[in-house]
Amino acid sequence: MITWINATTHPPLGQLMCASLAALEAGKHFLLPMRGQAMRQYTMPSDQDPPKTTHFGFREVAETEKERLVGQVFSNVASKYDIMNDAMSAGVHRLWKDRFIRQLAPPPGTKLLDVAGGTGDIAMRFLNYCRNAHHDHTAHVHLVDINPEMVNVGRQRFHNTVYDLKSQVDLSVGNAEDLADIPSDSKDAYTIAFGIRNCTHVDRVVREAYRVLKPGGRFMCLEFSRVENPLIAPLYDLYSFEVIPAIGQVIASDRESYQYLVESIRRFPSQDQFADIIRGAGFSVVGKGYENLTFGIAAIHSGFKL
Amino acid sequence: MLRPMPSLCVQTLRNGLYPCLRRSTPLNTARLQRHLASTAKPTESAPLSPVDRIMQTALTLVPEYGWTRQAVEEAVKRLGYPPITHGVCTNGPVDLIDYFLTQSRLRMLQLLNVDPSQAIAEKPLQSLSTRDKIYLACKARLQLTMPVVDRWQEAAAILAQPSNLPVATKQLYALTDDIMYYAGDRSADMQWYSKRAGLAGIYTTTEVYMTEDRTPQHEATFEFLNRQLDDVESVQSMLSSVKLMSSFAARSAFNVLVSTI
Repeated sequence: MITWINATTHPPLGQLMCASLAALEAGKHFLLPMRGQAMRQYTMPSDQDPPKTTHFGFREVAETEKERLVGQVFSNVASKYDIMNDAMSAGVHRLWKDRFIRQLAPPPGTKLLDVAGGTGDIAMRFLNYCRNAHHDHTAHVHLVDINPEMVNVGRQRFHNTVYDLKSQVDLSVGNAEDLADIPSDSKDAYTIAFGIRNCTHVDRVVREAYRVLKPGGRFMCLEFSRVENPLIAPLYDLYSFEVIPAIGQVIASDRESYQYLVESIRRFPSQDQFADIIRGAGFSVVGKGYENLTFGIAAIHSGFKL
Repeated sequence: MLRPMPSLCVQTLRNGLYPCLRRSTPLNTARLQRHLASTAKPTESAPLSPVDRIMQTALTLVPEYGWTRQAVEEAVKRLGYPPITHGVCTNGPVDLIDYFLTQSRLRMLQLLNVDPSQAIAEKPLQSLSTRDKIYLACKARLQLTMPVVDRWQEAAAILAQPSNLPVATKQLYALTDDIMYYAGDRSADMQWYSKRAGLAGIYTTTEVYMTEDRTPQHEATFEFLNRQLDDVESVQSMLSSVKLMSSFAARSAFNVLVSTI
């Protein structure tokens, strides 16, 4: 069992220093450590942990606990969610989401299920695309999120748009791992943007996506991923662990939630591992099955139910 | 396949670049035709993946719809999938062209009875000269472009766009390398590059010629190819064909720009 530092009680700077001092003592090179190495040694639990626990950032928690803890995080940040996204990514998340929808290129009349749709960023872009590209008013999006607060923010947002909340948009609270309300083979496309990372069982989410899609339907996932570029990776780590929690503290008055955010990114499978999960659920993928965005800080994964 | 590292060998440059391309014996066209006919039987083995089925159906629709997203959408519709499945052709037209070029190259190797992963051990063709093997390979490949020849100028224009340069160079390199390797080229010096560049020039100009050729069975195209191969005896003609190729690319790109304004 590896000792780990409780991320909620230790500020990250202290964490980094503890880890790096320890690494120095152990006679390891510290000048150019591998990405996240110092931190990982002291905070990443090993594979030998007892079963039925899962990761919540760098902490190990009981599987049954994770959903509640994630729920707490998003309840805390729901009202500041959109402004925080802009602050943390300097607006780049908008470009990622635009590209995501352009890659999906929904034809007229597409029925989209947007899971973990939260404040409606993807759903809104989807409807905008259909309206601008095809003058299409028949496209439909069903937004599902596990968190009622986030769904409420989304609903508010749709109230101020041209889109009809009755005929084009559905909003509901639901769990991505068990979409019991959605019939099988009923949707053309399934999107999940920056949400799958927070789910307890990623494979169950993908299998559930496979179930609800029509044959030929498309699964698309936008998620933070691994930066493999050796020049960018250390800078990205520094930014993640030092700057993002600080921004969280200033804007959302909530350091812990954003500490969780950056830690959960490090625990999410790499591009290729996640592509394997998608293949494993039965999807056909084209080529590698993913596209890196901004050096792999995020990646678009895609699969077809063929 | 081993990719030889080039060694800077001034000697080979001085010796002239294309001794291997000179025709040794008069070309036995009838024999080449027999060989092409005997190996032209399709040898379908593994069942196609759904993605391949969509792409190949889309290729059959190219004469009607061009290299467009509509061709893919129509293919998807005909196979009974919802329209959203058009996303298998991720980047639209250029992906369709890329797929066509890859498939045609593999089919060419199949026609020539060569497994790309294996060394060349072609018994019946062993007696052919290098130049004739190149002619045979180019002919086999050009014949695969015939079904879409009326749309090929569009494809060339799309490939000439700067953003598609990686696809165009990758495909042209793969094709010329396969042909040279098939023809028995094992050079490991500067010629390794110059031969491929020369062949790329010849192949693309012949392809351009083919799009304008209205003779039955594109006889004039193969005559043109013959003349081109005969002409390549000096660096000058090689360079001129490369120049012709690049000027065509530039002209296509310019025309595309003009047509969009």
